Amino acid sequence: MSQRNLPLFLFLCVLMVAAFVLQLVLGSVSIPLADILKVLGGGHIENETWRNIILEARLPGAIAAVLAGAGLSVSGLQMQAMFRNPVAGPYVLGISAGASLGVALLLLAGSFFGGMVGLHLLSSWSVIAAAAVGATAIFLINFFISFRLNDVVAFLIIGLMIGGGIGALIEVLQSVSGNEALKQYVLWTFGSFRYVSSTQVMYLSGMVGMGIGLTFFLSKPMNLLLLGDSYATSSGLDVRKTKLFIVFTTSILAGSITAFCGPIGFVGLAVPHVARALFKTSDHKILIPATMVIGAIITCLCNVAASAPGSDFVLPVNAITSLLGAPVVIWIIVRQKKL
Amino acid sequence: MELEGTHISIGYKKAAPVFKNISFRAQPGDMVALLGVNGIGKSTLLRTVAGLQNIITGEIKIEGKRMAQLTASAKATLVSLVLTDKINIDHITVRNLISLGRSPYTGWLGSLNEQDQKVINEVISLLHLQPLASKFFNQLSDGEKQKVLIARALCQQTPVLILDEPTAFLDFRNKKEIMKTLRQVSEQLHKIILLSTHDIEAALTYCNKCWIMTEQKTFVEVIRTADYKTQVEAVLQTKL
Repeated sequence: MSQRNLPLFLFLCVLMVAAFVLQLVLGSVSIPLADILKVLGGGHIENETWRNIILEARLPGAIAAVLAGAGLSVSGLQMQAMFRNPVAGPYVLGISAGASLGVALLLLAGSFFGGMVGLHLLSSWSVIAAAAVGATAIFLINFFISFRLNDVVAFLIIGLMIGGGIGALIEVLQSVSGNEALKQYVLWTFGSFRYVSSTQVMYLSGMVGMGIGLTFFLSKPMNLLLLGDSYATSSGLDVRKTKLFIVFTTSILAGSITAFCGPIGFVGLAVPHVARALFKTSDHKILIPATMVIGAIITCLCNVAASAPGSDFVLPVNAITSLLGAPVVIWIIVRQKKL
Repeated sequence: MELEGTHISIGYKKAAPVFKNISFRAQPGDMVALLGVNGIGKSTLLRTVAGLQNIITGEIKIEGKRMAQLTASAKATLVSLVLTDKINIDHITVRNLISLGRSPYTGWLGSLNEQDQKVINEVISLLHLQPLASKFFNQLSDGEKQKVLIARALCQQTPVLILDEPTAFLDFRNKKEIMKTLRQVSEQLHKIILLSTHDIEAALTYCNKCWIMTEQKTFVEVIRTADYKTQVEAVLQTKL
């Protein structure tokens, strides 16, 4: 972090902490900030319900939001460096399509075959496992195609087609499945941090922590990949190994986040661009921490917006991130074409 | 301190090499032009020498080391490259792009030490790039970009520098300037420079050797002598 960028980075860190605390404060039940701080500090408060809301509902969700924002953004950054394409991201590359397919197969096909649809299935480990398996499978298929083609545009189009095919498959499943399963599935596609339990958030932080830890080893390789495969190789980089390493970390990050929180669109795609525009650099030593912090701020704020403070509604996080993200992506393309 | 190729076959398929039986030798200070018609295999040969592509048969040695046996990072200290690939990176300064040339010598974070900074500064002043150093690469003209890419390659401090058609997209003045710069580099830094080109005039003016891949699939070397020009023309014309 250079002299010029450090104040900006610290400012964003403060903003992230503020956004994190905001998640604990705002919600359908209003709890005084003093009591919240007391509970977090390990102290005792009179109202046992408030204590539960803070420790069992709001805190795990708030942590999940930070992890998801940081993890998805940094995996988008990796994808964009690897494919040298500004519209690459975990979302475009089929991870969430694959996860959706996994969950659809579990919930919808499960109900069709007279299976196991419980009421609180959304947060269950079987859903998480199904999403993880589906995400990994589709991403690997996409990846091997891209390795053979070595053509970014063709690859993205194929990714889009695979996504379309999966969408169709899911529609077929939806048409034959029962109402309750359908509702469960649709709720899952909304994406949510609030259903992540305090046990699950520990596993999630383990996975995301590992993925982010590995990412810090990638700053130099990612800088070289920006030059293209030939230049990167002639600069001494083992390009094949590096790409496998990137696939591995991205799968861990985006796969685990999608599994625990459902699909969270556009964060991975849009946040790296915001970081580049703010820090005016292409150096991944700076971009990796910058995208993580900006991503965390955005998902925290989206989580607050989703809880629609003061009302009884809960909005889909995925819809909010997409509403924010889609204009950013349009802006990227317009700016690049200099329209 | 030399580049040596013996009985090389190049190409993508073992069964059908693009070009066979290439042998050559170059010394430090040599500036070599690789000539030949489109599609004859110039880029393939350059990529093979640079170690980007596997050799089919034969052997390439730089400073006595067999290229086929080296890792990517070891190769990166022997050969540096300037390619025709477009580089399109937002928000990278000229200085940062040039600094990437130090990659084979930096640690896992890619941080530059004093020695690295010194090399980068020397290269920047050698190519007179000081006024551009803090500009963004994407804002430069094609001629300036080419110079920056040469500077990046020079920071790798390799005995061999390979350039694939370095003047292809440049106007007359920039062409001349780039070729002059390369000549100066090969003499002052005592490097072997190998470049492919279709500009025979420039090759005759600036390069002391021409390696010609003829349409009859023979590999001919012409060295600068009193009748350099007629010899090169003879090889190219009789076989045209």
